Amino acid sequence: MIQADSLRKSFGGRPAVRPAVDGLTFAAADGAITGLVGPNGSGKTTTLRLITGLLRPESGQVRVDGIDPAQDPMGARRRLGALTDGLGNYPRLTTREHLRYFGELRGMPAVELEARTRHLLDLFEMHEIADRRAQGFSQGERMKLALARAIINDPPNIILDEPANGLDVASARALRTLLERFRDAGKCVLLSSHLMAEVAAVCNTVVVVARGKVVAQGSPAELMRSSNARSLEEAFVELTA
Amino acid sequence: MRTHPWFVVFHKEVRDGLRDRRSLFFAMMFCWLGPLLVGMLCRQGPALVLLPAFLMVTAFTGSMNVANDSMAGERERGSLEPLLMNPVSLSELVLGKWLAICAFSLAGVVLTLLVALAVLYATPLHARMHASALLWMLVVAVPLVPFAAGLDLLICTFAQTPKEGTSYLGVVLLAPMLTGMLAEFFPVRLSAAIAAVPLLGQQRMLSALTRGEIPHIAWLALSGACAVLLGTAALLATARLLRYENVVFGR
Repeated sequence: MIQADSLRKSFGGRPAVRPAVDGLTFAAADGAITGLVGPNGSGKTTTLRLITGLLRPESGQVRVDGIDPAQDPMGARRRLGALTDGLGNYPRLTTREHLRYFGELRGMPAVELEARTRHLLDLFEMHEIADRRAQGFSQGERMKLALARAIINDPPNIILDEPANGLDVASARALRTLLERFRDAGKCVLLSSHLMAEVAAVCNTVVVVARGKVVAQGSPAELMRSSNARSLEEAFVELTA
Repeated sequence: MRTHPWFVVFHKEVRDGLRDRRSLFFAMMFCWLGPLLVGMLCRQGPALVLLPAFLMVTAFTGSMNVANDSMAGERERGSLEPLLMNPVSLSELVLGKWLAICAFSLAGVVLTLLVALAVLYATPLHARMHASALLWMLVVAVPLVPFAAGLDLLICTFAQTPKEGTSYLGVVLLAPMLTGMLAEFFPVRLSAAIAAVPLLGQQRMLSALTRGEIPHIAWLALSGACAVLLGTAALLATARLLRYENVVFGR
């Protein structure tokens, strides 16, 4: 479970600078997919970085399964798998080498890592590219590799920053199926996105952020009802205006 | 049994570096070009005085591509953030990278000396310098390896892209080049103070070796210790720098 309580973070150091995250409070439950949605520059990526402990909040607190990443970053990171916006694959390493590298960094024993690698290659249907170097991968293949790498140690909490960016229809559908599997396995999935159709299709809870603040949260149906909108996209425009 | 994270990073960086064929070829060019030039000038009096400068330069050129890719490259392709999200301490991550950079730098120094050995036997230079001097040169130059690796890694921590890193490293490369040349034109006598200055101490001892003079063991130990210490300090500074958000995200 991921909890953010009154998070605040600004960049630049001057008091006049508007905080990137300004008193953000929300919770992403286990066995649910929580969507963090908002316009560009609304503080989604900063929030995710605060959760991973790569950024430290000026005030407020994050809890990952009860662990504060600002106090115990290693403990929190052991319970987190994160897909960053940039994907960040190594062009000269193969898919299998990527999985091995990240599995070893996460302290997985060799036998367990081997079995997990086989499982992920099956799950993401990556056998064809298992021994190919990442250079020249399609956007879908790059995303699948980055996602497999992020969940190599089967973490209970999964953070995804704009996972559907640049994916074709088939890859986007495969991603949706995967997210649903994670949810059904009882994991806490927190994803940031600005693709409302994607969010409406998979998220149980949606947290709408604008200018670093939470402006609404609830299920897609609740958000549409509260803003008298016919679609989540319409509700989003209404709430973030 | 769990593999140590520093070894995991070291292994990955070495494998990655070996697969970067173009950069590897470029780094190797320095290793044979220098001694070859010395060989071509063998009938000129001061041909051997070039060897110390080339040897010191290869300690840096051998490591710069790997340092650039493992820090500025990580940042440009967006892999630094996922790497730092692993439950691994920054000092272990940086240690693995530093050791891999050291491996490439050491390979550059050894290759340069092997080519120098071939040049020595193929030219009249063997009458002016004994082959065993090359072994002493290795002993003198090896402490430059952690120093060059640490400095290159630290400099690349500030680069947003490998292109920017290359510009910075180009300036760093002036240090062994200028030390190598200026110390020949304006020779200073080797003392404790001179031996303690990385590059300058090594240059004086390497230069003495080209004249057949074996350096005193105390100077050798002092210059080696200072270079290794500074290289380690650069490694620790890199690990510390990565704790700052503005360094990681380049703000």
